[in-house]
Amino acid sequence: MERAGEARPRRSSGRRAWWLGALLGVAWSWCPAEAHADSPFATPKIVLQPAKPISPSTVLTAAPKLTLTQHADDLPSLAPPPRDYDLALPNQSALHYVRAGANVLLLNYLVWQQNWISGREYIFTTRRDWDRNLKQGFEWDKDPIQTNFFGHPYHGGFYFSSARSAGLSFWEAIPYTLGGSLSWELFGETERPSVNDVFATTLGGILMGEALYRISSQVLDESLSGPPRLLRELTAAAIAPGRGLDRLLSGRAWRLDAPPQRRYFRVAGHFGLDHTGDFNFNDLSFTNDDQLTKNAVLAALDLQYGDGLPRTASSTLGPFEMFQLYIASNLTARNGFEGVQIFGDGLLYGWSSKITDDTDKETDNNVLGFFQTFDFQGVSAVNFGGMGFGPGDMMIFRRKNGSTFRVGFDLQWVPIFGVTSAFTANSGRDYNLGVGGAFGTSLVWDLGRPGRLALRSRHYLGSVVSGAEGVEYTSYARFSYEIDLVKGLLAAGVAPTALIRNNRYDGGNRFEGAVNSTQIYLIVHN
Amino acid sequence: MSMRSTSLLALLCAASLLQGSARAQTAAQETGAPAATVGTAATAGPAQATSGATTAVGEAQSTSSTAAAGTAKPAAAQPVAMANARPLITPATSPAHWSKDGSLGWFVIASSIFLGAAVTGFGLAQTCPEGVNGCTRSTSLAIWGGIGGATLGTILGLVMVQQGQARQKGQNVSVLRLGPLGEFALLPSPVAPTSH
Repeated sequence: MERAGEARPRRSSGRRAWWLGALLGVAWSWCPAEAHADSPFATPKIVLQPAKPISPSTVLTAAPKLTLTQHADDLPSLAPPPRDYDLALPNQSALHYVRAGANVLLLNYLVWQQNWISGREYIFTTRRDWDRNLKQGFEWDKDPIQTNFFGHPYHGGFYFSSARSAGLSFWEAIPYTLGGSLSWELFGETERPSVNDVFATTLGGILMGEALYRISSQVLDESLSGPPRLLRELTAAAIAPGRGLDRLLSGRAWRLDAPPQRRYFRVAGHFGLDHTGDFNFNDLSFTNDDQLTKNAVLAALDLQYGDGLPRTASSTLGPFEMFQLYIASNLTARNGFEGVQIFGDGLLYGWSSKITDDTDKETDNNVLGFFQTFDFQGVSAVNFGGMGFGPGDMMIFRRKNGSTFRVGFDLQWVPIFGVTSAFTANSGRDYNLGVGGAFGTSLVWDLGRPGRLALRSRHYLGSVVSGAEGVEYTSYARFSYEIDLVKGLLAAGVAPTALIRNNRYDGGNRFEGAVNSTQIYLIVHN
Repeated sequence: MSMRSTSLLALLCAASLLQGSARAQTAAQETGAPAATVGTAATAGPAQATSGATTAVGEAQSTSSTAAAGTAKPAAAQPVAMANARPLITPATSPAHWSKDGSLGWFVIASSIFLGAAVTGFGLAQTCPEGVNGCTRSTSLAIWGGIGGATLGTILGLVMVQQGQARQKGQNVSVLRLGPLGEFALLPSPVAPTSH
């Protein structure tokens, strides 16, 4: 029979063993996630990092501090310096070029598949269609002017931005845009390939693609994580879908890296009214009020990127380090694209030189270089679109109080433009396609508190290559005045626009007249 | 509960702890990052001497220039680390090295192109009546479906190859991915400027 004293040591040793086992079990649960990664209770939100930098020769004598962190900025000493998201990736290999090509083909497939699901019969291509397209060659197509001078450039921007996102430079991405357009025209449609589509997709895609790519770079921040990162990635993907697709497939959409280098970027949202005034064209069919929306709700974005100063010691500016883009739509118009205005111009390459001896924030410089422009004017009475490139010059004067004065001009070769006309012969379209040139001027005078004046004009002159043979002259001028209501946030503006047509066709026909419109709007800007 | 069963329970917990620590060590060595575990740090008293207490988790990828510097072990700490470390398993001998150095990516590329070309070729070999009909609809799907599959597989395989190459160059940032919610990085060990 046990005595009472002898039983107590047995119970104490058992209890100690139990507590020891429990303690070890708790310690096991604190093992890093990967040690028991198959456990459903793995806790991934643990970041191990020392509280401060440690010398390599130091031997740790205490357990490292555990902290929860979701941002590289939590450790300023470890945060990488900002990176230029618009530069091509260094140390490119052939794999980058192959991936860019695969991106373009995948975009074509996704667009094709979406059309197939929608039942669009013109994309049910077979070997017979491929043979016929290759043998018969290119033609001028009969798509609406909105498709050719807005839809195709925007689609070309997808190709361009997906190639850029694969790590290529601006110039390297151009062939991929052309290749994407050619592959679609030859193999994606049962209709004969269209030469104007190739021009519009490639040239328009370069401008739209690079501009939207750089805008998306200003939205992205790879040093973030969690919901803020997700929101920025989704916004950037909406701006440049080709880039968003590449980031999703490559994993860059959630990879932590350096924050972006910020550029001068002014974005202004317009919301107001667009009033189309009386117009007079010699062809009465274009004055039918049923085709015209006199007053419409206006929504627009006015973007100005780059301060015009060189970022390198060589005093040169690279592709699209300076550009402006204006996109407006009349929301209540009968036709979805009625009243749409898109114009943009970007620097392809420029050489900067100082105009005065002013320095720092008051530097005055002149940029001589090559520019690319894009226009699509969807004013209901007349529509036109054009894209070109050529030499130009811009002078920028800056003052200490932040006011600036920019004035520039350019002379361009326009390989493709389109203008609606009553005289289109047997083309099957309501617009003529032509080749020619353009002369443009721009002026932006930011006075600071008194307001902001801007004037933009462009004059197209060319000969018709598909439609009623003749000479087309179309020009427009847009003047705007904006003034801050709340400094740095809210402003109001007014912008009258005038469009003039003067066309002479073989056989004595002419089409001439003018139409004006006025926009009144509120502005939210940064 | 008898003493025998409690002791057995304690032994099981200790074994689990040691196993977890060993797996962390192996994962860290495969990715080239210095390894330490919270468990060993919490219970082993003096922590292993490393240039920073980080633990390799999941796949490793990085473009940070500090990552390479962060993986260097301090010379003075190596004897302690090596005394406590399990035998090193080099990437070349790791049973899963082909999934770490990107070789699997080439297989994905090749197989995607092969299968995609086969499907597209099958579609191109078909002859359909003139006009729009069910035959043209399904044949076009085969043609473009093969193109789509090949390109998607090529892209994914290229990404795997490129990540493997980055890993081989020692550019590692261990990451924990939570999909669209973001990524939690185990930052590379900081290396302060030496000042002796």
